[in-house]
Amino acid sequence: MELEAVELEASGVIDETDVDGEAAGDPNKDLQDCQDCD
Amino acid sequence: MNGGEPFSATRPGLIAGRVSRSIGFAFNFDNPSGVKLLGNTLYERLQAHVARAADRMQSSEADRQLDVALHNHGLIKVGGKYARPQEKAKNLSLAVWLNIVDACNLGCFYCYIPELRKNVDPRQLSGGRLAMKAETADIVANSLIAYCVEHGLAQLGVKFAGGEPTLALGQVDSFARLITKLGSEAGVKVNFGMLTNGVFEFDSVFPVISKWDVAVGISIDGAAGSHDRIRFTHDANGVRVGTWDRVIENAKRLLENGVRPYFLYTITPKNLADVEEFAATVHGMGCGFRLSLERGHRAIDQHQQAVTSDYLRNFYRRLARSLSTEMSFERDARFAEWKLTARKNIACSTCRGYVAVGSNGEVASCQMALDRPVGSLGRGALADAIDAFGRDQDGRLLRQPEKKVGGCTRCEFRYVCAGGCPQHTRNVWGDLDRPSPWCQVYGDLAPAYVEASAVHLARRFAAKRQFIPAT
Repeated sequence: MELEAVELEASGVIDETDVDGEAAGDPNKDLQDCQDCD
Repeated sequence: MNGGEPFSATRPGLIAGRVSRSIGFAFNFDNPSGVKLLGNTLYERLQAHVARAADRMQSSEADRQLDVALHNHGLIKVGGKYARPQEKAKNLSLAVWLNIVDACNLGCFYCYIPELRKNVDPRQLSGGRLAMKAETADIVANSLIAYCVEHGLAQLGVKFAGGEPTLALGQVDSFARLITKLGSEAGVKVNFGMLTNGVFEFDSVFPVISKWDVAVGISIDGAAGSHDRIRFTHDANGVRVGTWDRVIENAKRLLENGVRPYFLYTITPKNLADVEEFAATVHGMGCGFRLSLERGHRAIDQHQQAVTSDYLRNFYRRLARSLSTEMSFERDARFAEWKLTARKNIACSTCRGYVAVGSNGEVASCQMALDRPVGSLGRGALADAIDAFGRDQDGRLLRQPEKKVGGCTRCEFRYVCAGGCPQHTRNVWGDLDRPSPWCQVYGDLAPAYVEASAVHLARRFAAKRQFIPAT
């Protein structure tokens, strides 16, 4: 399985901004029927 | 659930586990700042904190470095405090739901928009009789821009809605032209969205979408079968005609023309079982969606909540392992108003950065409350109406949700579900300072949703790492 092959530095941290860049927020925010609270 | 007790009175805390032998994940319900993947050493250090053993352990310099990382990512407190989140830019925008027309070509049984003329035949909507009048549009546009200028807001988002906004294309076009001009003169950037049911004549609608760069949201009710049972029109002989094929065709044409629609799926008992089929269709087109739960006026029994949460837990678990790594789990398969990167005291920004404006210029806290407006732009400024929100207890809580004292404030998951839609809660319990009528689903789903998000994040990370050997 691909996840077992992934190497992450033992003291490393990854979150969505690392895979999505600063655009990790919701670009569709204004399409929703309710406006998010942020 | 009696409407007053929290789902889980456990103190908010960490959820942590493994997504593989070498990667752990963690999420802090007490300080939501996103799902984190952790390397083994860091994960074990976090587990020591969870076991409250870290303080009794000899801390080496290396441990202290690990603690700095955990603290910086919002997972542990140091000196009794979480790391301060990065300074966010002050919210300098206003979002407005604009009911451009009080009519819809469909008649969904659960629709929460008050005083809506349903099942209107577009051919018989003579001259936009149910649409916003030109003089009202002029007042509304000027009022919105004036409010932005007075309050130093640089951006205004206008969502054309209704009803079905494509029934009033002329009004959409002329309003967009007017407010763009006013905004340009006043230094306010105006952007547009449209919430449509997708049942429209593409060749008529697309030029307006393209001209004003309108972001398109399409509401939908299941996969083909269940959608057509709820969302249908009638042909000339009065025979029901489902709308699924037409909606998907219009979505595909939008994509061919460079517009990526976003889908909104309202879950009801009639279409719950079709979420997975719907998701496969929409994700297969490269589009994202948000699932929301039906918002009626009655309490939801425990059986329905258990069935719903059971289905959704399994759905999200499977999706985590099948959703393309090109897509974002939380953005493209969103649930309700959840946002794992933010600590929320209330689900939406109603009464603060968000208001609804009706076709006669009336102002309400949101689209679900347009039958209870607090003011009218024809009789006063938007600021007066927004001030009026603070005159009753519910309005004060919507503006200052950190002052809630009800059951949610003692719940483990309070910053993620944030109590659900406050208007729905008020409609069912008569008081918005209570847990959502869907509280059981939210509480049951939250840990599974977080774990699923972590699994998908790990897959995205794996896909991004070019050196990962194929297996």
